[in-house]
Amino acid sequence: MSLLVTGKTVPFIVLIGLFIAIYYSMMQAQKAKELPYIRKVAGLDAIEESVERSSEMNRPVIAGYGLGGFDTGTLSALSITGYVARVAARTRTEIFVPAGGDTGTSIVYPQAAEIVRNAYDDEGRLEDYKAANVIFLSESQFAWATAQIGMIHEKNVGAAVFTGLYGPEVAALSEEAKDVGAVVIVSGDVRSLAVTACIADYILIGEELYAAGAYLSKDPVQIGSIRGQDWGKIFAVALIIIGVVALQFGFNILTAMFNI
Amino acid sequence: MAWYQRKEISMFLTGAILVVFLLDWHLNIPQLRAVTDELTNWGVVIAAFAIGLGYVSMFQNYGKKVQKQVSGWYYAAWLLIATIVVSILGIYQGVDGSITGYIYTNVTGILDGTFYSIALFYMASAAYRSFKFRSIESSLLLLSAFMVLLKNAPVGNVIWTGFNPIGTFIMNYPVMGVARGVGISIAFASIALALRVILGKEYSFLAGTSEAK
Repeated sequence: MSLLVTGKTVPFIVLIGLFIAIYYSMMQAQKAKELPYIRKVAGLDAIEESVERSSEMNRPVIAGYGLGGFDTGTLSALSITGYVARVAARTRTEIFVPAGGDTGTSIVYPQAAEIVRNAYDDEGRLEDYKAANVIFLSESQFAWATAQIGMIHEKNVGAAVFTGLYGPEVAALSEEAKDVGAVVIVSGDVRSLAVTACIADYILIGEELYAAGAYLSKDPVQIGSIRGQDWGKIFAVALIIIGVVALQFGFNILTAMFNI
Repeated sequence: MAWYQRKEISMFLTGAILVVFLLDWHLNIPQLRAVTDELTNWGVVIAAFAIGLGYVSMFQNYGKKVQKQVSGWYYAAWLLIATIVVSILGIYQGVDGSITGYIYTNVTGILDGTFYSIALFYMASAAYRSFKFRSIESSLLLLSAFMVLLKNAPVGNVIWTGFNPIGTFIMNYPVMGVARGVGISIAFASIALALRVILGKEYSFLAGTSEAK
């Protein structure tokens, strides 16, 4: 039995190579005197504005992190939830964080509660933190969604930030939030991208959600990692082109290497 | 602050466990597999406790609504009663019990199905607002949606047989291409996120802030 799992040798080497490239990019960014360039992400920039708008209108905000378990999408969504909570604490805006939606997501709920609490603590407004506002609604997906719709109308939210993993209920949540005049910011999953693009005021497409933590931190090292991942994308595109051309000439070496 | 509450410990544990799972995915090391199996079991146990914690939160919140008799308190009361009754039945009969099975099939399942079908109208409402000839992008969206809609609707093929090949082309090439492009970008973003976590550079999901406290 070999040390490496059959069919995963090349992917493992490529992964290590990517780690090195991203690490190198992070170190370069650390040495640089100014922040590495990163394109504007309208959806993330709009968060602060929408929470401030809610504050001016004396309306609360709702910030959901989806129904995923501890996956990378949910972790990124939690980063955004923390950021929304910080802005809400700073502007003295009430925030509601609905938890639940799936059995797997219940494990994230205590984490989300702690993140919101720490956000208030960081802003020196711990006295404004309401533990009851980070509320577990249900582990059933549509019961969770229905309760959120009730919350949107009952609290008359001024901004709705739905990031992370959502199913078809994201259409209902976004439409109901629009109905009460809230600014709607949604991270579009590939499956629900078309619907969210039609409803939301701002959408975070694909990697924009995953880069949120780094983008919002304004930390050069973290932003440097985004440049490193771009090198990886260039590498992937190059591999795709080489693979397509090679296949036309009857060479399937790349498909065999990557066990496709 | 107690030593075990320090953020550095959470960061170290998160990074270390990530490395263990990453290596286990790629390497044939039985000892590593034993560790990941054990950690997965811990995850299941912690998730069960977390559900319990979630229900404690739910009872506290809805209990307060009932106690203070705020507007719509009877819905909260009904929720609590239903939760208690189904939980007791579930503990007594198990998940495959006749009464719990009856409730699931005839109440929960139907309500879920109802909500799912309502989502269609939300989508139609969003489509009505968005599909307009006001810019090149929205016009393309309108045309694509029209073609795919009539490709899937039985009447489309009766009106014109061309809807089927055009709709299939849109789904198989432009849509598939974009979905894979987004998928690739998510994969690389996840790798970068994983490295930031392993190196302890990203911890916003641990403490809600990227500033060291």
